[in-house]
Amino acid sequence: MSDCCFEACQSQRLPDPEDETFLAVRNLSVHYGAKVALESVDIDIQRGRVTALIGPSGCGKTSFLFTLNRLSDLIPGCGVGGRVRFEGTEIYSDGVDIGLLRANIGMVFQKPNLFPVSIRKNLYLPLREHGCPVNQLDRRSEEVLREVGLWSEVSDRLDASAHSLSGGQQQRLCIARALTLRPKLLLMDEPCSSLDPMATDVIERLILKMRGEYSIVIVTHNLAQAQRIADDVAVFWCHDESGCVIESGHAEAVFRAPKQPDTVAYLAGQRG
Amino acid sequence: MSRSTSRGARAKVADGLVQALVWGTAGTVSAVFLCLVGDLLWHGLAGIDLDFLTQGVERTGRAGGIFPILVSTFLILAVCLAVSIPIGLLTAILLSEFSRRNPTLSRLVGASLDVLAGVPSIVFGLFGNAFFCIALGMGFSILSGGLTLSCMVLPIFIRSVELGLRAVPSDYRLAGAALGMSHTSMLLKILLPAGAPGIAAGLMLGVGRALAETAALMFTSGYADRMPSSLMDSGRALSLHIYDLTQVTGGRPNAYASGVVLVALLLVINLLASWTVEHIVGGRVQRV
Ligand SMILES: Nc1ncnc2c1ncn2[C@@H]1O[C@H](COP(=O)(O)OP(=O)(O)O)[C@@H](O)[C@H]1O
Ligand SMILES: [Mg+2]
Repeated sequence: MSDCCFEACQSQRLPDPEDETFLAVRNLSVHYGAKVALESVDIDIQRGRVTALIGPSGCGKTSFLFTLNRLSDLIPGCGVGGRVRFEGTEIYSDGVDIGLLRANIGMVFQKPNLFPVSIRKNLYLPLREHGCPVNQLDRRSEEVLREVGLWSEVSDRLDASAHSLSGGQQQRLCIARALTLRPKLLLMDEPCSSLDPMATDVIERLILKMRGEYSIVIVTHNLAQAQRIADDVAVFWCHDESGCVIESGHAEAVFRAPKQPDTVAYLAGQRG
Repeated sequence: MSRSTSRGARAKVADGLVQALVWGTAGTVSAVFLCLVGDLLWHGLAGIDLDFLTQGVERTGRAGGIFPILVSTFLILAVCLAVSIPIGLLTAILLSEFSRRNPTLSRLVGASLDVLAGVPSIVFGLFGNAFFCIALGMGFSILSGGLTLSCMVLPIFIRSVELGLRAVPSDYRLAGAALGMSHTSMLLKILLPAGAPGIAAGLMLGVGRALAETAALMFTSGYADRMPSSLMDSGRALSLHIYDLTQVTGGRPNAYASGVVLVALLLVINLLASWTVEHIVGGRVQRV
């Protein structure tokens, strides 16, 4: 079955990663118990660029993101095979400092998931966890709030509950919270899917502003959005109930001249 | 048109019936409660004065006050809580957090706890007597009584704290893990504070059950109505005192007065427990 899917997936095989590759994924697979959710994924993620993951629901995009910061360790029954190499370190080898890995690879989820504490405490918690000196907390918090454009909106109510913010503000605070640790890579799982168009626009512009300084992998169902913000694109697809990457490359090339028939159909909005 | 009116009328009658039923039931329950408290206050309030609260017991309770009884009660409760709270919290955390990887174990422990919570207190009394008083040689003492009570209180306490912790959305766990927070700091900084209502509820259930207990203490902390000199001394708990007074002729007035004190005590401790937990443990989180 794996052979058949491999053929069906027609996913491209990449050579062994070179040392300077930012993030290299080779022959990655994810399964939940007996169910295979993702199979034989080969992909290189470039430094400083925005990579959009697109494709129908249930093709393993979230599962893929979870393997990159080893959040999959927390999901009962979830197993990961293959290799993920981040800045020259095999993240699935023994002795990897997972706390440090997750500080380097931040994540923003589909739904804002702020802690039920004040705005300030939401930023302090990760900073304190990673040993930020007490006298730096305020400076660093202000810095990230300015980065996500929240400072002017919340500077006078830092001690208010984080849950009192609007949905868009909460999502930006989630981004700020991830940025407190100065991650090199930011994973975003459909960050705008629960937001209205205005708030979505704010976040899109924020992503464009962060490009270059941060590397971003973003899952989106919004093809127009992917076209607006992405440098690179990977198309996820389902074959026999298990997901795989059928096409990846420069966003412009994939959108202009997709190679796979499924991609062509998906981009034309006929399937998925 | 007429059909829809008749349907509307029928719906109105049904609504009225349901409403009457709900109000009737609520009214009955409240009335029973009021009767109970009213009776207690009516017979008991007159017997309470400063002397009653500060004097020693005389003529096995028919006369004098209840001061040594109060002291024994507090000591028994203190022993019980000092043992139950740490063990209970740790077990609940283990059950709700670390057992995700081992669901069989947590189901087994959970089922045992549910069985234990339903065991009649007299059985705990017999066990406490055999184990703490005799096997461990503690004799009839406040220590034996407090430890026996904590055996009884633990199952309820653990279960409600566990429920409180499980009710904390798993979003927080993922959020914390994605920020590289360790399991321990997640637990201390987010999960326990967010689960504070469960801890408070468990504490109150536990204290309530401990204060109301007579049967389990009869064979463990004993009847001595003098001032206890240490934890190894026998001491009579308030509820046991009330029970005892109803067995002696002429004991009723003081039994009622002690009853009022017991209810007042329960109320104060409940308020105190919920305030403490909300402000100390839960103070770090904001619920909206
Ligand atoms: N915790 C889980 N347990 C079992 N199956 C899961 C779990 N999470 C996801 N899956 C399955 O894995 C597949 C991929 O899911 P997911 O990664 O969420 O896809 P996407 O994000 O592309 O919608 C789906 O078929 C889903 O049912
Ligand atoms: Mg998803």
